[in-house]
Amino acid sequence: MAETAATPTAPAAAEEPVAKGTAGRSYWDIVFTQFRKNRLAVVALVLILGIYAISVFTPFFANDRPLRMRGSMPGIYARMFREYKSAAHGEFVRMPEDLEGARKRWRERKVTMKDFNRLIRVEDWHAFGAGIEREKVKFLVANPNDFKWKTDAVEIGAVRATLAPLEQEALDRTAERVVEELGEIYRTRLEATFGAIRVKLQALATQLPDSFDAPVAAAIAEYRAALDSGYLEAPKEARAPVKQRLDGVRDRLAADFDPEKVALVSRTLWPAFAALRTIDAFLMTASFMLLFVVPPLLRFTPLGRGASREVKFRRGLWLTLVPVLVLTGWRAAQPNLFETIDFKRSLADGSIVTESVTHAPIYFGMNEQDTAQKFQPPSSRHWFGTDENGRDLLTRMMWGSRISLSVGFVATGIALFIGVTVGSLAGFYRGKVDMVLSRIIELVLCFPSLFIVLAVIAVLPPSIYNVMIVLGIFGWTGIARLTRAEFFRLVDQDFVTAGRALGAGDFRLIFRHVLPNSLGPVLVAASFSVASAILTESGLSFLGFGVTPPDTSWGSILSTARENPTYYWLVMIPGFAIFVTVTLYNLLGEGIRDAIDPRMRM
Amino acid sequence: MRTYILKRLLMVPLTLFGVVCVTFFVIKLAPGDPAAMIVGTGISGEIKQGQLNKEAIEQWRKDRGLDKHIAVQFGKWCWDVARLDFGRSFIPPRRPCLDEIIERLPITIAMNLISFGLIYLIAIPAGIYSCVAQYSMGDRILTVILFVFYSLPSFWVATMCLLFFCGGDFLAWFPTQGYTKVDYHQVGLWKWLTTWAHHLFLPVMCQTYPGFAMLSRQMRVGMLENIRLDYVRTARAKGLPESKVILKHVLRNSLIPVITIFGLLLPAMLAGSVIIEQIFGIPGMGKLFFEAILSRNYPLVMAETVLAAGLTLIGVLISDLLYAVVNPTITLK
Repeated sequence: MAETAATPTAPAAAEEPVAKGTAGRSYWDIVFTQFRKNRLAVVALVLILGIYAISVFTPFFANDRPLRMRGSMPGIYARMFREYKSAAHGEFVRMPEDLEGARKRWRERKVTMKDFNRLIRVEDWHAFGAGIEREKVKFLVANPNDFKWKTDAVEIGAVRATLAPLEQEALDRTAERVVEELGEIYRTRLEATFGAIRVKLQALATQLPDSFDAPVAAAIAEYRAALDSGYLEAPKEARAPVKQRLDGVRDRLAADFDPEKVALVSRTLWPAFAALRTIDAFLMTASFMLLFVVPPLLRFTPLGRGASREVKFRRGLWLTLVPVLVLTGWRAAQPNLFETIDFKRSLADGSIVTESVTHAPIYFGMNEQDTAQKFQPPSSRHWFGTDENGRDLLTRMMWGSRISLSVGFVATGIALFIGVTVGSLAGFYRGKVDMVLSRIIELVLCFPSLFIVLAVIAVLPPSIYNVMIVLGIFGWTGIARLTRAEFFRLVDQDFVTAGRALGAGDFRLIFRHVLPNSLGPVLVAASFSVASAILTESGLSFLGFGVTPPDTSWGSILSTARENPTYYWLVMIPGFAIFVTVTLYNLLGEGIRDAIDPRMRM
Repeated sequence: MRTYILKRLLMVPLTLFGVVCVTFFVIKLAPGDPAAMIVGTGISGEIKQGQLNKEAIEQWRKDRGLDKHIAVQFGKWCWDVARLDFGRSFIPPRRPCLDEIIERLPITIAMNLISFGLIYLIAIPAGIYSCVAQYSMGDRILTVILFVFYSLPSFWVATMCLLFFCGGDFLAWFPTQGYTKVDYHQVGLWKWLTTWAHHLFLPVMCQTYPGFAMLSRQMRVGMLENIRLDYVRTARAKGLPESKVILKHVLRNSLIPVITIFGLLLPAMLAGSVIIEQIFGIPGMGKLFFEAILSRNYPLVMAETVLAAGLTLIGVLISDLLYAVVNPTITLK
């Protein structure tokens, strides 16, 4: 095995029978054949693809929202109806009076400290804040048992009385300005209330026969008209008829839509699908096409038969790209999901009545808490046990894999971009360019990875996207060095000189001639880089610097286990998952390396 | 040879300057205001952006020289670093950063040295064994173990050790805390040594195995590459005993990559110490760094980053020089 050849590719090509129907064997043909001989690496590749498939399609495997259900939602209908009738409508109608009242309170300085603080600006605070702080300290000294000044119990007028004259003036100026601004603030609020009414009415209509759509649309139009008519600022007399008309609308709807009287229609819903985001649609379509549709099409149909690898590659790309773009675009065009129905609970307490329902095989939500089930060891109900909030660990592992795995991908993508660019520039131009870029590489290499990454992550706002970007930005040196070395080897070879003689520009030489021939080692480095990014991310999450709740990743599951170390399943399962994934990537990397250069085989 | 070493040495201040620059700008230019984060409690007790007490923040900034223009700050930072003064910690009692680090440095250095020793002590014989007994059962098992070690996340192993070996529901072989103050004069040498060994066993193991895996694999490749070369055949042909062929000819040549890898091991182990020291509660450099990050103590973070990078630089330099020394055939430009 190890002692195959002195030169990397030539003897290997000689051993292999020439493939039939192709126009000679390219470099990648040989690499591919060599790779397939390595059982372990092939198995690793298949397993990695499997893990990716599971993680991409997790919403269909582990979800507390049903995949598909046919039925009606009487409980939810009744709740929506109640919320519209007694809350949202009332708020809408009363808003102008509220505005008047608020204006009065602000003018008479009877507004509470809490409301006051909410609406003023920092600059306002400077002029009189010290006085208010004084007042606060006085209160805290006088009431040693209260740790906090109850700002909602204090009126600003009372505080104002204790201030110095200049401070009082400033406070008055601020208050008058807020009085001016109140109209704008309330307009926004009225707009929001209108939005809530519209969503609720439309939700009611979806559960009723189509004949109910028209009255809902008419009612929404009425509210809209009231909103646009300057209803908020109108004098009391002018408002009265509008209010009357709206109350009439409410009464009519209340009579027609009364949950006791209406007959709800059964509708088919796809709750799990409805909750997918655009990026999910993209990834799911792409993975589905790439894993299950395109390879068999290219293999067993005339689409791919007899075509060379390049042609196959191009066709496969189109076959994937078209459905991906269509479906992602379709999803992006749809409005975002507003509904936050807890389907599982509603099904259990009868708020939703179904004729038929299809659940995900693992019927738990990622953040579905069950305080009665805290720290359950693995059992037939919870295969991987539960965590400190009684959440199903298997479900969380599956949802967490989405983050853990995508970190590896995205970080490596960024690292590849920077590394290949820097490496090819240094290797192609050599001389001074190489000098400068090599020094930069050495410089970045000097920072112990976790040190610099932690330092940067700590000053950035907490977000998993920042983790991905930072890991990419500090992880490109290995790739750059390899690319540079490959360019050094290739740039002097005849095919580059030939390209140059034919008049190819530097850009074309780099990207069309040299780079494709140096991608092998880069691919190996990328594979190891995915492994190390996954490892670093889980380390960061373990220290509490990765994902932010409610999202989760394997590392953050492991970090919660650190606080409860007696629960062995919380430690073993996520750690094992990280270990397996990293191992698979390392195996894959070694497989590709062996295929590229049999001499390096270990 | 001499010019190479000279060139190499000349590069060091330049790279160090780069390190100082990168550290400064990464911390300073990142969004997020340390003053607002440390001082910034809102009027009514809750933390709220836009309701901060600006004067207090300004005062806080002024105390720490953060109100000056960034170029001025940068100049001062470079000048201070050149004098080995890393400023004072943000957090009271505001001790000089260097003092805090020097206080914590010995334990980290000691642990890393032990780890290095262990790594080289085990990896080199393991490499020789793999070469002598290639494809034997032992070699295969060793390869698999090394591969497993290579991808095993050390923080997971550490947590598992805590779970299974440090009390709780399982074995209680080791203490959960990897550090204890023992007075050497009170307990005598033997007790002192054993106590240390008892406390540091797990953390040192967790720090050692990843580097060990990396090095042994490198060692094995190097040995196997060399043993196929012509000079080995010549050595055998002239009748040298196999032990001499392996130990004197093959080993010496395959040691070269193993030595150079030293420069890569150092940053990896320093980075690893952040997590390991955190898990085992060892008050070393890594733990100090992590605490500084949690409390947004930026001068300390910057000081530690520069120091760690500086240590790495020295490691790389040493391995480069060793490379030149061990391998006289290499003509260095």
